[in-house]
Amino acid sequence: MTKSDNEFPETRASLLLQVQAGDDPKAWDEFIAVYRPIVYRLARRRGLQDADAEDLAQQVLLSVARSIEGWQKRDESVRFRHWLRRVAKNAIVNLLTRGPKEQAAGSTSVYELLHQHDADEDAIARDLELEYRREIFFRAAAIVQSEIASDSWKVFELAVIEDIPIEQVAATLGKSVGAAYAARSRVMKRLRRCVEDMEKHEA
Amino acid sequence: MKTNQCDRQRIDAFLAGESVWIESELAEHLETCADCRDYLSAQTAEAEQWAEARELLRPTEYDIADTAEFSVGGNVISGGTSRPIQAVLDLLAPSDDPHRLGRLGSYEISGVIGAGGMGVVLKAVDPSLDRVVALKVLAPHLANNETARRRFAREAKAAAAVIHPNVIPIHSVASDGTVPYLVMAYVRGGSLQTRLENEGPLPLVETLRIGSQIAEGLAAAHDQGLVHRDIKPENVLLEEGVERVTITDFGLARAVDDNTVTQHGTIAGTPMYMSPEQAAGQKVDQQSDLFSLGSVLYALCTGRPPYRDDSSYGVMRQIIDESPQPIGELNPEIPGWLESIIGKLMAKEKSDRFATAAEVHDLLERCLSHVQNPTANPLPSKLQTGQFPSTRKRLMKVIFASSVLLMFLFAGIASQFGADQAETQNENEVRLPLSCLDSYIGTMMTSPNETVFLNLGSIGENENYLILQPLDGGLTIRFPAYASSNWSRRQGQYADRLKEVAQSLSLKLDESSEMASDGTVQGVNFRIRVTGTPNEIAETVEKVISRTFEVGSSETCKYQFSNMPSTFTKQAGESPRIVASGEFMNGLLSGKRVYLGEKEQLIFSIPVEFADVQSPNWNSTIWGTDVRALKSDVVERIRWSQANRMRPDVAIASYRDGSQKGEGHRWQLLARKVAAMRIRLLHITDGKMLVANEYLLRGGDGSQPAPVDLVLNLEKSTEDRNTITPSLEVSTNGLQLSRNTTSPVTVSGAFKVSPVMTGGSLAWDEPTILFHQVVWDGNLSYQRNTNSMIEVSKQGADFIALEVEWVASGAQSPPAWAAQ
Repeated sequence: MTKSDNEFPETRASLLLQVQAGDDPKAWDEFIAVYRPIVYRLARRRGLQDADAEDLAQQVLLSVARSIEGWQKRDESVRFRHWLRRVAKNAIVNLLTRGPKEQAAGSTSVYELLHQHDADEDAIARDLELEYRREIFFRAAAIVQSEIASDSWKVFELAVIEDIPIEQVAATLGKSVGAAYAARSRVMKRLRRCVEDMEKHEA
Repeated sequence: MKTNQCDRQRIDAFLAGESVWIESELAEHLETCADCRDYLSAQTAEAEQWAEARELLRPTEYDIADTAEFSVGGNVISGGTSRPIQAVLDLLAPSDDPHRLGRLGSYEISGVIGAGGMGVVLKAVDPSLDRVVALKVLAPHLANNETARRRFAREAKAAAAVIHPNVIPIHSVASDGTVPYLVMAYVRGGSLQTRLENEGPLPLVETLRIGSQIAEGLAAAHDQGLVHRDIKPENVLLEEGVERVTITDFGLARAVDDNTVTQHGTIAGTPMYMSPEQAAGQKVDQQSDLFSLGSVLYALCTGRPPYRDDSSYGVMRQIIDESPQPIGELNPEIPGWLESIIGKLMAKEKSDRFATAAEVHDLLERCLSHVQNPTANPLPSKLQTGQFPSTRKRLMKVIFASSVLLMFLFAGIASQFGADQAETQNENEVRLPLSCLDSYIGTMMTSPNETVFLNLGSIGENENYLILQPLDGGLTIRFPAYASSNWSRRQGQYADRLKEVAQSLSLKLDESSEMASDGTVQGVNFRIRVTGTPNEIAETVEKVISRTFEVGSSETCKYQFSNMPSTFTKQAGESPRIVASGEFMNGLLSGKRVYLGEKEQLIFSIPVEFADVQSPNWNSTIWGTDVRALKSDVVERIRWSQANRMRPDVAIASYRDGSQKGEGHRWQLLARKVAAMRIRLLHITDGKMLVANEYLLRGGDGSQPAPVDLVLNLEKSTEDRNTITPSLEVSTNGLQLSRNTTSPVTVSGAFKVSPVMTGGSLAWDEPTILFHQVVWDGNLSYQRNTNSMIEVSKQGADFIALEVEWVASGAQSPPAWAAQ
């Protein structure tokens, strides 16, 4: 174990390091890559401007980093990345439910405030799930796209994402309709597999 | 295998990826067999899954950066900006002409010019007049947004009112169903931004010509009572083949007397060219455009914007607090008089800038004549006498009234420190004057064993603690540095820098490795040991810290502390700025941007034993603001709040905190106009009340809110459901303090956590006590004060309570804890 002459608070960096080395070295890096865009989109959806959303994303990551020490002391059986997700969710909800509510406070009763928070939290939690899933799909799509021929991807993009009738897609790309069907399914299958792998990895 | 036969196994094998050779066979069969197509689709994914892929992969409008880019017409769409563009193109009606992208109203769309913050700019043909126009279409996601629609309408109204060759003509405003759009003249050419990117600094004559024309266009807009608010190179178009400059995108322009849109506090605009008042969220007027014009000229002279940072936040902070690097250092060819003009335009104080855009236009015109023919046209006389203050001089005027932030490090035993020693300095204590280090320090933490942690990272980053630890006859400064993975980058930085510094001060630098459990080196810690008298120690520590982060006159030193997305770049003469999370929160709460300014005068003391605490289970220490320093300040504040009949304003919200494994509850306090506050974590057991933690906090400034974030975590052990480890975290003013009990508390029965507050409305004028109560056996009734809790505890129930008390103006005599 790390030799340290302080009981508290042992530098979080070194704790993080232990976490990384011990459990899942890539978890933190991946976490940042995944969550930055998620928080950014969530914040934008809630009316924040670009710079504010960036700041918020940063803030969430920092607040999560700050909690890492807390993780270390807890149940070792909880997987780091799983824990990270929960903490991140909490940090996002907290940061997004602050601000305006409290500005409006003053004469508002505490109970109203509580209820507002709950309602907001639910909405954010739902949005977060959606954005999280969207991010997984984006990443899976990026992987699949890099692995397959570009015209196969094009078929998928037009026929599935853009929802253009497959006959039209085939005509546009100069493919036979059958080939377009096959390509569409092949890409979709790979995408699903990729998404499932990621989910398994995260679960 | 025949291709004309239906073969489900072939489809299954294809989907399983067993052979690539099947695909062409299968494709051929699918060409004609609808059954197999259906089977294939169904086997690939369920209907909902197809729908989900479509739903999720459909680009969202928030994946793009808000950059406006005008370019020569045509429909070159780069990857990053295609999403809002696609959303707009989806709205187009089909066109009869196959060469067109579609139709909007009566306009035939022939291409996409670019995408900006508010929408998409399309190139179109107006069939009635057969002329090429540019349509600015409000992004569909904004079309439902009332603020955006209003801004858009204002853009149209404002811009259409200005008729001037240097301002883009607005032909009309129209709306197609739900999407409003603006019809503008189409300018063939690129933006000034594109030119800057391609060419770097422009020739002097060009700079003056462009600057003069922007000033002229602005003068025309200003005459109409308009402020552009967003002058930047992207919004300046250079018409191809004509020496004409056109200001475009009055997206943020608004009538000076109409500030409704800004009421909610959001700041609009591109920060790099923003004025200090705009960055600070204050009133923006014509003078603000002049600042932005100065920034644009700066960029034309040097090839780079005056202020740069990794975040727009950082840029805005610099705009408010700092002077840009002198132009002469970046481009020696720029004459001193132009530097003076730009310096005056970029004066932090509006009143130090030019009076009008017309004056700037006139001045730049005369400068242009001078440059083109120096003998015939002398420089304007006021430029010859150099009467404008230079950028450099004003640098001195800027900034922080550095607070005297003192940190106490006690080498002695903690319990020696008592209230009676209020004014006397313990001979063993080192008082470290941190005022000069102020800007390096984000947050500070102290620990029970007298260790002080200084957070050196950027924006509340918490991996960069510099640790000061007392030892016999001195202290050690520990710089953490790590060797593995992503942390390695900073090791070199620290190590090299520290070696130099230690050498220059004749100090010894120790390196010690941190070993992982498998014996591999995980990281290296650097330690510098400092001994001497308290004064000598303080002086040396200050030198070590400041020299470590000192940057030589020609260097740019980039600190990347970790793989967190936070870096800061330090250039000669600049101090790194750190913004603590509390300041960020303060800003969010008040709806404003936050900048690092004067720090709170918070003083940390080393823990003191709490006399009446019996329980061995609690580490009973005060951890927070030094009472000695607080007292006079609090009394002063109480006096002030009474004199001003200030009513305190305290809002509390409580909600569950799911981030912890145990059961926790988060409390948030927003206290305005409160003189002082005391927060205590109490443990009530066996008829006794033990104070586990106590925090005394000074209230925020008279009008400013001082949010206090409290988290009480009550965590059940997984092995033993009757054992909990409570902890309390308090954050305010950028400081985060947290305490855990040293060992878990074991109680006699099952417990539940329930937040309880004093019932009904809170009495704002009275010191108020709030409780967060834990009912151990689940049968106890609602308790609202400590006395009844103590009574009940005699029957064997334990409580953990969070008590929050504040001093208000109505308090005739402040409680003893606030003033003695």
